Amino acid sequence: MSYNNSNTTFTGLAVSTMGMGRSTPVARFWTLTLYNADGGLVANSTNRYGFTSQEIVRRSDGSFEIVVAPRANAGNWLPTGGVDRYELVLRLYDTAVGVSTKAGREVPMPDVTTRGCP
Amino acid sequence: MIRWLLLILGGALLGGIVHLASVIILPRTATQDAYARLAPIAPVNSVVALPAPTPEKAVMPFMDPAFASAICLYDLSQGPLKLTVPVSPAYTSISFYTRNNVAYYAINDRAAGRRVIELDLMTTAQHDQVPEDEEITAADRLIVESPTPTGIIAIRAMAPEPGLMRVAQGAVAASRCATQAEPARPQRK
Repeated sequence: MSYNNSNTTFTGLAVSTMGMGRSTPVARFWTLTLYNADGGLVANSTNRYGFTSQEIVRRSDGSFEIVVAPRANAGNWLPTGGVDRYELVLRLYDTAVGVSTKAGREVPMPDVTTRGCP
Repeated sequence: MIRWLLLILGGALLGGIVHLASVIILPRTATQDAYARLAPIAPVNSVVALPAPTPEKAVMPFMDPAFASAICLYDLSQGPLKLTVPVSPAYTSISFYTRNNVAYYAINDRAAGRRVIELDLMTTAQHDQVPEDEEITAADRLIVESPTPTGIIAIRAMAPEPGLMRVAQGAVAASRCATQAEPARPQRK
């Protein structure tokens, strides 16, 4: 079972970083996917449309950072393809009982920060 | 003054009712719902693998590119349906939707706890016809009741890494959904 976390719309020019601590919501897998406003994938040179929890590069303490940006970045780079607005969807698969009914601090969600235009 | 206030209140109430009614009715009157979009590519009562979403073309909006998916549009008017889905190495889920796109049942590989998920889908009336002793002897037989005679079954297998996509697609493609013969009715003489 999955549920979609707050579909947030971002502007494509800014560089957003998504960082998750070690305490991600308990789930067997998660995926993070970038869509345009119509729910379609966004074309880019690397054919990368999202990440799964197994694919990402993590730091030694288990935390990680995903950089959402139009230009290539080191580490986990999720290209925006230069679109103006996009939506990031985090899906949690096979979550523990109660994750979808709790809110706020009980279920730690990843931080999203905007680093600003390059 | 009070008359005006009453008029405004009445108007607001009426507006609220119309708003709520249209919000509730809208999903039922939508012509381009999931069933209508899938009907041209999927024959009834068979599993059809959906092409992976690309930026140019996707069967559905917001498809997860990390998944291989297949659907089975079902019609139970000819009898109950038997669904067989082999479990992929990662995560496999089967979700059931009514004709009006309401999800009413879902199961994943861990909940099923076996290598091949097998279940029978039938309407409430068909379930009532299943002889009781048969249901008891087949305790591990999973029976799902569909609230509507037609609907959609979505089969999804995850590829946690791109290299595992072929395996996930294989698991999904090996799924079967087919009409069963009408269950034998107990002979009454």
